[in-house]
Amino acid sequence: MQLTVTNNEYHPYPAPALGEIGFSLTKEKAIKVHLAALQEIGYTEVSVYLLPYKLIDELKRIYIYENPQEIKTFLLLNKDLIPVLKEAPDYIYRVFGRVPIYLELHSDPEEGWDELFILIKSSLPAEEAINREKKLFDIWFSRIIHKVGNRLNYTEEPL
Amino acid sequence: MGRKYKNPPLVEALCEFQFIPQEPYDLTIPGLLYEKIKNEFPEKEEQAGVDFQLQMTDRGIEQKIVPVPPKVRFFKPGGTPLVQLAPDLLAVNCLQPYPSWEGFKPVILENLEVYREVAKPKGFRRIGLRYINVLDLNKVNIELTDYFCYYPSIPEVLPKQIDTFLSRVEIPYEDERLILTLGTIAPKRPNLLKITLDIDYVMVTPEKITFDGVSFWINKAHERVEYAFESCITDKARELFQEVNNAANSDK
Repeated sequence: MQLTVTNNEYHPYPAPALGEIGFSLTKEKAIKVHLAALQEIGYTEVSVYLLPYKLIDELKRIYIYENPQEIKTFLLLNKDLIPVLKEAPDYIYRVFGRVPIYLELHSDPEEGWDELFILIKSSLPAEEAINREKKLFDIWFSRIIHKVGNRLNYTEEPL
Repeated sequence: MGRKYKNPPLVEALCEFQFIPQEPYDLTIPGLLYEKIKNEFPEKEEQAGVDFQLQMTDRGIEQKIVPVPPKVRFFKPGGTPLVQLAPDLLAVNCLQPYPSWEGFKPVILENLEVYREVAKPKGFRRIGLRYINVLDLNKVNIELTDYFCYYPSIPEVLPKQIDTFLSRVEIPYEDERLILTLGTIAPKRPNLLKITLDIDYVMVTPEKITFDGVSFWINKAHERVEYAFESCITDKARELFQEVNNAANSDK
């Protein structure tokens, strides 16, 4: 079976011959099919066991993981942080605009603590960045600080 | 009746019903359903009402964060079994310890009946019966073929070391589908390989099954899932699961 993606300029594979089993998709349709598949992966998971794993993978579409393996392990041990991380970008984008956001796990094995940081990368002047950090605290973090304790924090960093 | 294991790899069994969409979604359905099942499923939990959506724009594919009706879970103390609700969706899940098919099936049917009374769905869009198995294997010198008859085949010339993989096939089964997914998920320790064998038998033809036909259909689905499971594992895996010779223990 052959999957052929075609548009006006580029024909990487020949169209299937008459009688051959095959599909011909326009580039746009191919992207839509791929999008639908991606959406399905994220949306229809009803397994309680697998959901945290899927959500952690889904978060990677929004956040850039600095130390992926450590972050995954940390989140599996702190599953209640996953929904918090899922809703956080909505607030961050409202305050900072569409900026890159990173996750970084800070650990001190001797002291026995781990803290996950959301790093908001922006090109704002320092004073304005601080003001927006405060605003983010007011509209979002102040509501969840009692839930996340000292396991999750956020900070702005220059791009 | 299938084979029985003392140490089965099953971590979750679930039955998922997707209904013909009813618009607009009636937000009182979770509350009405809870009123009817709260004696059996007193605990409740709501999942975040936001989702990431991918959209095609002039600049390419973009993420969008959109509000969605929250998913709700009702469960027994201890967390299992549980009932999950989302718009036009009902799922009944059972985590470890699995009580046997004879124990799980009535829980599915009873909760479906309650949902039917409360939500008055028009019919089924999709039904799936799914069994999720997990094996924790030592990462060093593991040969997938020792444990599985279904596995990704890697050309001889490529390195044999496995780190992560995901393999999914959809097998047409009459006019239904058996979906086999074998893959790795994040292990608890770095030297472990955590492998999931996820077996999902689904009906995807809208309204093909009526409410009266569900009991028969899920029995058939269970037989096929069980058959698929036994077909996908080797005798070495059976040794790991410690097969029991008679019907004394729980079945899959």
